[in-house]
Amino acid sequence: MISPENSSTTGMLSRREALQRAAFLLGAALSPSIVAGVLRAQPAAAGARLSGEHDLALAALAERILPRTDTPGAADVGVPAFIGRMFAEFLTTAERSTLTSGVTALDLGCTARLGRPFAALEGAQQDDEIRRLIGSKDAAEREFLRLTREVVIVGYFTSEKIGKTLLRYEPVPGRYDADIPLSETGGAAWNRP
Amino acid sequence: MSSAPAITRQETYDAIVVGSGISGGWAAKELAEKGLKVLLLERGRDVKHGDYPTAMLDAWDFAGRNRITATAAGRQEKQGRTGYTTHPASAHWFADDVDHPYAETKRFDWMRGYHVGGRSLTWGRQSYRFSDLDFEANAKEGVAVDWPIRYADIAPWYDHVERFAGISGQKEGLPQLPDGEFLPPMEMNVLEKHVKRSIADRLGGRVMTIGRAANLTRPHLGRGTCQYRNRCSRGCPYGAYFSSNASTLPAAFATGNLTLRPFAVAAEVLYDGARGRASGVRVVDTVTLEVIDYRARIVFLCASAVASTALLLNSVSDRFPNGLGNDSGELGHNLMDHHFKVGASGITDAFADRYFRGARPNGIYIPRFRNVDAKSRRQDYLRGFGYQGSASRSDWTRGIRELGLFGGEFKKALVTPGPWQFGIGAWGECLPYHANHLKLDRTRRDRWGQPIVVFDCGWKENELAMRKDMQASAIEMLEAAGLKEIKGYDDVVNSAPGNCIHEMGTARMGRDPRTSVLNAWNQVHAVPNVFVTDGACMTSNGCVNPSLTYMALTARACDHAVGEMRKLNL
Repeated sequence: MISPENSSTTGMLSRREALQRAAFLLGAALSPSIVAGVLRAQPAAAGARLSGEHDLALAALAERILPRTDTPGAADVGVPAFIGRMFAEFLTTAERSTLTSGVTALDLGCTARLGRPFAALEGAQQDDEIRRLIGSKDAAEREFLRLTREVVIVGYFTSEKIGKTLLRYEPVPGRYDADIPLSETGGAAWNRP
Repeated sequence: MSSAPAITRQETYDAIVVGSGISGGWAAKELAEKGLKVLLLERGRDVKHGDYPTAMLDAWDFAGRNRITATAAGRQEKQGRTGYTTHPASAHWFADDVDHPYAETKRFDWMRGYHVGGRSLTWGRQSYRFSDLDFEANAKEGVAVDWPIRYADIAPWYDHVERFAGISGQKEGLPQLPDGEFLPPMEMNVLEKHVKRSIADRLGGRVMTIGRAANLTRPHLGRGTCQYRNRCSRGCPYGAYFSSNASTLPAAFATGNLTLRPFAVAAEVLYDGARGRASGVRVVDTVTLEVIDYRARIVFLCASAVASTALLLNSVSDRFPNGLGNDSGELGHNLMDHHFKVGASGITDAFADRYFRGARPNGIYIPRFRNVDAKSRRQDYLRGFGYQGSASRSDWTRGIRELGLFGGEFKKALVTPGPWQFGIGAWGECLPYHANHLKLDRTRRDRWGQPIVVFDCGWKENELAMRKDMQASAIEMLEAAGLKEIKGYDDVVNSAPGNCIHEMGTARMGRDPRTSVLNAWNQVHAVPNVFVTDGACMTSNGCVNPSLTYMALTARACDHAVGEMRKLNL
């Protein structure tokens, strides 16, 4: 499911087409924010990239791991695009293989058992699938979940929006206060330096 | 010996310093301030103070956030073995393993910074003095050879370098960890203070102190105070920690006596057999491949332990067929590093309403308490170890390990700080073994025609026995502090020699030219106008971070060298 990209322009077009096709086939169950988030992804100038189906499944998975509540969800801060970028340029060959095999197996399993790929399931069904992965005895499934969670959590909490709004952002503290009441940050943790 | 190169030009100086890291920066400063015309050779690119491209970037400014690209990681496979060096904020300060290959009979993690400033830009900044416990150990135990110096010889030079570098810390009055000329100490947080009290009360007065760090706690000699960003390894725009770039090189340039020559890899120390002296250094321009001979009255090798040793091994002549100054056969041997990545961590529910502001670039230090007197004598190993660590509240990264959690509540929890946690890891002394060595493979050469280094080095019984105590004692202290979920660890595989980046010992100082390479002034015994003042000179490795000792030995050797030149002995 990894296809090379010859130029960013044609890559973007084929990517957009592939996504639109995948989204069309999956139907109305997809969250518009997830599709938009995936479409915003900047494909690498050169390198592997995820197929449209895989993009959507991982974006849906990301949104269930860190969903929109009264604060932004994974799609709101660009995690789907981040997953695509990580896949294209930053993950190792073994990690890319873990992601593609894992998401392929997830979609095949969901389709066999529930009649739809992961991205097209209801939220509660998606959560059940995640719980199944958590309890899985299969090492490949566990590693797929571990890696996906890591990329999603890193992508979310290292985004500018979360770093500057949910976390406390003070890039140049200027001093060290060894003991302050937690209430001084409103109960929030510091953004990582 | 390499085939006759085309020498395109020659230049003459009073002194040549090879390498611009912590030791080379000091040599350049001290020699230039004493009036010598100094040529400073650096194999890598120039880096001016302030030229730190990632210093002001946030996580979201990096395309891969906390990762470099897979392609870049592939070029730094060995440099990435520490787990932190090739982070996108600092990867540009570490060498390209493809262009700079080395070989391993046993795994050796050789971290290198090939640019002006070298590893002074990325060092851990922990700055501790050796004591007579260290300088006397070999002689008392009959291990290897005796150091030719004692604490009294180096103490004034520790004073000298501390006053300039700026070391923050707390005096403790311990014989095994001599106090220095400190700037005000950084403060411990609430859990660190609790652990400090607990181990003092319950473990016979055992001391925990704030780390002694080359980070400024007040303005110092034109450099700014630490801003508590904990981004030191990117280079500090405020000059708030000691580096060659921010500290010694500006001072050396200010004399008007320093010439800096980047992109110049030293190929060999030139030897004048008629005079029995080195005559200079042959370099290869890394860009043009031009071969240049630089001449000088004295040569200081400060290229880092392994590189300085390799340079001497590659400097062969009729007089020195096995490497310059290698009459003893010890050159390249007695390779040491600290063994570490062993300790314990634990958490507590206490202080849940307390927090801290600022990212303190420093931790706590628990000085050596084993084999320091008759009462603390161990039967199972020689020497000892110290602990470094810190307390903090966990952040969102804990969520990566919480594999069973997801969803809205999980997300909400990760925005808040987790429980207080406290972790310590031990840094242990390694004995000098002749069998632990590096050598040159002349059949394999890098892009600049230089033979590659081959490492053969491993921990032995003493280190492995010590590690058991390093873990057990860590657990004991955390239990004394009443922490819970205490987990010990011993990652001996990833504590491969070199991984601690304290490699040293391969051109050791000693009293006898038959068993050592350097004398008490860091001079090559048989070639007295060549000085080696980086980690190569170390006769044993103590258990404290060594850079401060390299600084002091370098300044001391420079003073001696200039004195000998004035007496016309050099």
